[in-house]
Parts: sequence; C-alpha cells; structure tokens
Amino acid sequence: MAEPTASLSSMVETKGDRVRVRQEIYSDPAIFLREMDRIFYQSWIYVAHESEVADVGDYKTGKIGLQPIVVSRHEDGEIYVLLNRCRHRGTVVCREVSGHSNFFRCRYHNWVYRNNGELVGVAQSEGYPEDFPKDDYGLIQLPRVATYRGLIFASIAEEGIDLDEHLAPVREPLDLLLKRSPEMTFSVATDVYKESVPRNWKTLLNYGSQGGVRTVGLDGGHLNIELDPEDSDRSLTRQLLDDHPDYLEAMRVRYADEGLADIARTRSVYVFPNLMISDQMLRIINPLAVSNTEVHMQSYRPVGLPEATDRDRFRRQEMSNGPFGSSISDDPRAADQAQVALRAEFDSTAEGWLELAMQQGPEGEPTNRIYGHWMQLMDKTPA
Amino acid sequence: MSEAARIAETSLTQLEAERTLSLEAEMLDDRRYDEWLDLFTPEAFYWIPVAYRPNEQGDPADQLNHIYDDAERRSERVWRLLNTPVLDQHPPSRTVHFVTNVRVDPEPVAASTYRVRCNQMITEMRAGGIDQVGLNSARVFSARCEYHFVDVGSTWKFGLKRVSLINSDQPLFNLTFIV
Repeated sequence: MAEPTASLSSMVETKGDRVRVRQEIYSDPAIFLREMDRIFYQSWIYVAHESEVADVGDYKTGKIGLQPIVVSRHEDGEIYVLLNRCRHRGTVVCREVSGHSNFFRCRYHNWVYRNNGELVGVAQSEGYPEDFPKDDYGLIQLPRVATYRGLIFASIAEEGIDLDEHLAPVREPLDLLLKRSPEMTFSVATDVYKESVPRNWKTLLNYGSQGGVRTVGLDGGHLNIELDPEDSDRSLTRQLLDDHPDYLEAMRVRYADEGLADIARTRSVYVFPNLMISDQMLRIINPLAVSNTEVHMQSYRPVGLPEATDRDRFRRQEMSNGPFGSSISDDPRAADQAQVALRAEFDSTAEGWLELAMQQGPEGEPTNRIYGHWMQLMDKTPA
Repeated sequence: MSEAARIAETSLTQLEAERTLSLEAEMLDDRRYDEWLDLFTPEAFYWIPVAYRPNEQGDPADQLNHIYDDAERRSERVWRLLNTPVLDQHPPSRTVHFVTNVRVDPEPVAASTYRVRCNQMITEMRAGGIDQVGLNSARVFSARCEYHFVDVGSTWKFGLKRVSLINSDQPLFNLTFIV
C-alpha cells in the first residue's frame, strides 16, 4: 500500500491553545487508506442497534471502513458481525439493507452459510475436492463484538482495549442522552435518511464553541457538544417534560429531580470514530473515499415514553435534519467547497496549513483532541 | 338539475387537473413560491416520505419523512428560500418540472375532494464557477405523486401533495429547492 507522501507526525501541530493541521489529511488518498487500516480496522466501530436485530434471524448490512459487513442475531441469542464477502469468489452475500433469514445464500455459486457465518453447504459439491474443509470457509466473524445499552460495536482487530474502556471518556454525556428514556435505552426506527457528502469524513467533526454551543474534546477522540445552561429551556426534552406531565412523572420516579436539568440539556455526543448521537438522530459516518462520505441518519425513540410524548418528539425531527433541511446545512455547503480548494497542491510552507484554533471552547478546552488521538492511532504500528 | 349534471358540474375534470398541475409546475420553475403557497388549503400537507410506498400512505406521524409540512412550515420553507442567503440555494436551483400520466379518481375521497395521481420528472441544475462541488451538473429526479384536489368554490386547491421520489431512501444531496 502506498505510504502517505509526507511524514504524518508533521501533519498536526498543537501549541498551547493553537491547533493546525495540514490540508493533506483531508485530501491525500494514501492518508485515507492508512486511516482505514489504523483507525477503522482497529477501533470499536458502531455497526447497528440491538432493536434492529431484535429477533433470531434478523440481519442488517453495513460497512466498517471500506469492508462490507452483516450484523445478525443467531439462534444462540448472540449477535454476530461478519464480513459480507463470500469465501469463494468474494461476492457480497447479503445484498439487502436488512432482512430476516437463518441462512445466507450467495447468489453466485450457491454457497450457503448459517447467519453466524458457518458454511453449511456448497451446491454441486462434486466440483470441489472430497476433503474440502468447510469449517475453514465460513464468513469471517469479527473477533470482537460488544454492546452498550443497545448500541452494538464491533472491531476487526483481535486485540485492543475493551468497549468499556473505549467508551469510558464519553460515558457520562452518553448516559445523559440515554437517560431521556426511563429505561436508559433506545429503539431505532428502520427508516434512514441517507446523505451523500462530497468531502472527507473528518470535516464532519470540526465542531467548535460559539453561539451558545459548547464543544468539549474528550480523551479517546470523543466529543461532548452541549447547549449552554442558559439556553436549556428551549431544549426538546425540556419542552416534552413541560408539555407531558406523565413523562415528567416517569422521569422523576427514575432519576429524581436533580438529574433532570442535565438530562434535558440539548446535547450531541460523538463516539470516535463513526457515531454521532443528537437529541433525535443517530448519525453514522461511512467514509467511502478521501473526498466522499455517506451519512446515515436514523431516528431513535427513547424506550418507555408515554405514547403522546413519543409522537410529539418524533414529529419534531423533520425540520432541520437530512438533505431537505436547510436550517443546518449552510456550514456543510461551505465545507463542500473547501474539499475542492484543498486539492490544490502546496509546498511545505504556511499555505498548506488549516487553522482549527477557532474551535476552542470559551475556557480554552480543546476540540483538537480528535486530531491528537488521530495522530496517535495513525503513527502506531498495528499488532 | 339532474344528478348527472350536478356531478358533472362539481367533479374534477381531467383538463382542470392537468391545467392546475401545469400551473403549479410553472410557478415552481419560475420560483413564484408565494403564489405556490396559495395553491394549498390552510389544512393541507406537503409530504415527502422517506420509505418508498407510492400506493399506500400509511400514517405520516409514524414514519420518517423528508418533509411533512403544514401551512406554517411551508410558509417558513418558502420564506427561507426567498429571503435568506442559505448556501444551498445560492446560487439558486433552476428546475424544470414535467407532469405526466395524470389520473383523476372518478369518485371523491372526501367531501369535495378528489384524488389525482401523476408522474413527475424534475430536472435541476445550479450554475456556478468551474469545478465547484454540487454545481453545474443537471440532476434528474422522478416521482410518483398523489394530490388531493379540494373544491373551495371558485377553484380547486391542494389538500395534499405527496411526492414518492423513486430514490427517497437512497443517499441524497441538497434537495432544498421545492420538489
């Protein structure tokens, strides 16, 4: 694989509260491929929600980096994450977005797998050697799969920190989002907005702190983005608590009054590297190429809401989200143009640097920690 | 007058349906969005679902929708397009709406309300400087549409416009013009 054209450690510079990055990290295809190897194929990647594969036989397809995967619920009750690639000639086995089946049949030569990847049979077996080792040719199971409160993560790497350790720096704000549900879990609706974003996946992470929004960079590359306390009464959850006394009561019983202000505060949480959870949507970031990303936005519902509260909450999501929503898309449209300009080649002097300093919080908390974490992973040689 | 004559007088004709839809298309292509707002009744919804189900509505409150606009949201959408410098529409979309296969249900679906289905193709292009992302390339959108035409006395108005884009559940990019 081609190595990046410049030394990576020179690509990110932090000096006190100043952060700058080389523009190549957004535009060099070799850096993108290394990100796949060092980040997407090493880290814990969000792949599906338990409510999407609730019953034995349910499956959902997706991607980890550039690798197609399928997430399935096997008859042993466990969730398996498999590389969605036939071991015969490499065709994609499950072509649908999601479905229900205890077996996956590859349409090319009718190899049949159980939904935990075991190869059950091949058609026209007389064409294969007698001692053909079926046990060695199952769909590749990802070695590590773990769930946190319904959120399913998987890792292609056999070794590494466990999911709890990965989530530890972001647990507190993540839990605050989950606590909008009296049962501290969500269910995810099957409809998905898909947005085609013509730029590098990392440009979706350039959050800052301005206009009442505070972004805090956490260890591990995660982010906590919240509205200032003074603006809390315009939050969605605050409105729902005010308008629906039965919801307020259920929440008081579960969490007691003092917790509710923090739970209600408008918040988004970014779980490195591919998951963002806002007040209403899960946003899953799928990098396709150095200048191309596909974002999937799924509506989620906190479990245990009274019906009227749930409907009211669900109804409010259309306005700003998705490709039709223009209330939040100015920033992305401006960023799109940067992707073109970034293709220009610069020499190693000042022209090629991008200033991220404006992304500092009011007390100087860094949002640049993403890039520090990124640099650590990119420079580390995988085991 | 006879029952037949009364029905003939109050029911929606193919010609009227086609003319109304052509006028709507022209308004949208001319960006006469304020006039377009007047084509709807106050209780009407402009609806673009995410799931592709052209022949069944289902309950909009239970589905993810790209757009489910009541009068207030429609009005805000238009205001935003005409009065704010949203980058999605600067430069603005040029559109051509084609309306075909207009079918009027012979029986009303509700009092003074007729269902009209049609197919639409909308071509869209935003012109700008060379090599700009999202500009200078014509895109084609196709949809199966369902309208409710409501007799408001002097004219017909839309009680519903539901657009089933064939790629509603696919990755989409900048659909901030009025479909």
